[in-house]
Amino acid sequence: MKYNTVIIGGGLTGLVSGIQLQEQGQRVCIISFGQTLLHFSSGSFSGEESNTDVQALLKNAGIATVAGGYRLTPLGELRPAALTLEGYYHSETAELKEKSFAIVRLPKYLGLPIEFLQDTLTAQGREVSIITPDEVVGCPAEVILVPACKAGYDLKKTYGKRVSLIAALPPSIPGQHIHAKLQQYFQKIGGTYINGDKVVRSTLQTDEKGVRVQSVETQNLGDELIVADHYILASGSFQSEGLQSNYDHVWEPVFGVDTNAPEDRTAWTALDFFEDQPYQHIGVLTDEAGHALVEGRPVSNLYPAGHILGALRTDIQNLNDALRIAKNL
Amino acid sequence: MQTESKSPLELEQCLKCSICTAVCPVMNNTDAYPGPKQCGPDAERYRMKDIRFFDESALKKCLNCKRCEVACPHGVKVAELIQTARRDMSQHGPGLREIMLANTDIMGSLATLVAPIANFATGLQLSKEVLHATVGIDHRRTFPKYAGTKFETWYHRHAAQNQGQFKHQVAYFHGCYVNFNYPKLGQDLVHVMNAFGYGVQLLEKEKCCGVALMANNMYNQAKKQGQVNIDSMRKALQGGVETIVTTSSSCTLNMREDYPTMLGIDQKDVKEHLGLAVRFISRLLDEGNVKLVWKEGFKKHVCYHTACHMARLGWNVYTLNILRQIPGLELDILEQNCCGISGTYGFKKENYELSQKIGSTLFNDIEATNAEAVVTECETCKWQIEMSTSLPVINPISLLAEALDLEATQKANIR
Ligand code: SF4
Ligand code: SF4
Repeated sequence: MKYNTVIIGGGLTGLVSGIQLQEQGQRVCIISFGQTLLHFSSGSFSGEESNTDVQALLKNAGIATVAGGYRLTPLGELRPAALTLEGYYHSETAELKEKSFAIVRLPKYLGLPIEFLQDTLTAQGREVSIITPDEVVGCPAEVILVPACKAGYDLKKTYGKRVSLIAALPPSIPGQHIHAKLQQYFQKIGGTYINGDKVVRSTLQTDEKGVRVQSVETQNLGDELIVADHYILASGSFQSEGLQSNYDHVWEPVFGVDTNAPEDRTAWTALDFFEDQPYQHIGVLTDEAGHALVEGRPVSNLYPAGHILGALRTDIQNLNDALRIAKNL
Repeated sequence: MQTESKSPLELEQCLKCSICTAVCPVMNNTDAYPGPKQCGPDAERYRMKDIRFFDESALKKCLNCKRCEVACPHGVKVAELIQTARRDMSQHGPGLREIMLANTDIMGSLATLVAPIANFATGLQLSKEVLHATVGIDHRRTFPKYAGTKFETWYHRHAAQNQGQFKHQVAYFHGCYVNFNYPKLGQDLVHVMNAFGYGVQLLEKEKCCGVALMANNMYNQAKKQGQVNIDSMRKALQGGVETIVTTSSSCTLNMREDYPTMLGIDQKDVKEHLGLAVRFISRLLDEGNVKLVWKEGFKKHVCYHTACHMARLGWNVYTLNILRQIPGLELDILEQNCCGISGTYGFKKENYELSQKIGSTLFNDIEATNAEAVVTECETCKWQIEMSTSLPVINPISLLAEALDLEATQKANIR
């Protein structure tokens, strides 16, 4: 199978670069192993500053967002967000502008710490009540919060703007929506999305011009060679198995891209759990032009993007990179 | 020092992310099922210690759709953990209903002999009520129709003698469904392969692949049948066929992936030569080895449904590659959702409502496309979707047969 670009990893970074490339007229194939970090999405894209290109691309795929401002965490704190899905509680400033809130308690649902949320909002001087779904009608509160679970989305459908969603425990419904929308859109514009499959072999070719990726092979497609001019490596960090580790080293399993992991294993973690954890900064190495380094040499058609460069990167950093790489191919 | 984590069916790889629970069609439609994470890797740790933790009534709710495995980011064989537990720990033998539903080939042979009567009888409200009350097959379900002439009979009468003229040969594992219910698909396969310059042989002996037997806990019989199939395939390959093609996604997945793990059949040598015809054809097209002549003015609007087992195989990419090359075809790709039938599951009266509820998202999506037909590789999806929506369902091979000018294509390829 021949493509212009093959993307390894079907999460946010992979899908957005795939859409951009497909829209630029390329033939693109995304290979995705298992679901992605989007399943932990809060309904917002993290980062300081949004980007109108990203917002427009999401909009085309059917994902409407509000730029900038603050999202409300399930613990009742306002945090800056680059983009927030429409329908979620969102504040333009770092302070809650409304005076009164109601939180809907859904029967048998434990994914939102309701009393805790009530306490923190009360501590910010707000009037907060807890109501049942039936009490939404006629509720005097300025804001009515419902957890972003399946039943919460149903309420949102019924009451529209009157209720606002707030992130709840994963698996994340907004994340699933974002993923499904992007995936559908990518396929609709002609992209090939291989789901639940793993790249098990890659062939690198070395000649006088340097090193380049020749082909990759997957578990399900067997001896099928997947060949492309360019490869984007967006397979994520440790949790998505874009990076792997054992007791003595860290490696990138598909191409063997070099990493910045310290040799001394004890340096991977900080003893205090709440401290900044060094392993979250572990990522693969690239040259200045963004080519992956394998055994110190740049691979001329392989571009790592997203969390494989470091787990603490924000969504917007990843998205901007995805677009930048795609536009240069 | 052991530096790799090893555990049966990757049980220890589970990081408790609960992503599998988000995609499980059963869990999302009933409170009565604890879900893949809990029934799979979580409970397995307890079951390993004590059989009393084996909760058959819960595990029976699993459709074995394998969507959890496709979604798991850590390669845990969630559905297989559930199915092996049922295989190894169940104390109950199958009942009459399970035996009836699972023996698709015996039931098929009997029914073909008396097809008009069988179709009439299974369509009759009275016999549906009898089946509902006596053996527990739901009376609201439409039965697949039995064809009067088996595919094998058609093949021997009308096709066998022409196959020798082709330089290349493939063998075809048609499966029970093509043989008894839908010979047209088998005929389309023969016509398409012939048009590409390939003769089609049947296996010396073909048995039901056993997927329904396994779902109903009849592993010994499944193993015997599986062994016959693999032996026949081996023989066909030794006899010079280039590959063994199939048209059913569930039979294919079962024979390729579950034969070794669930039945202990060694088929490594055969596996790489056994696959869906769409895979074989897609690769022929990519390699530029066949010429295609399309029908003048062909026009059709279809939507593609990725059957659960097709998703697990990961081969929908081949089908889409073919479909995207058909001029005049408008193609919508449906979001991946389970149709709810899962082989014999939806036929059981205790599952009927759940089965329809699971499928409702897909049914609504299908109706919303305004397409003329649904394309999918799975026969039980076909029954379910045709019963529950207004659209006919076709296999991609039949669509290909419809879009190609078969005669002209054959002329172009045999020269
Ligand atoms: S998706 Fe996989 S890793 Fe996550 S809970 Fe399910 S089995 Fe465990
Ligand atoms: S195989 Fe399907 S029904 Fe069974 S647990 Fe997995 S997702 Fe749920």
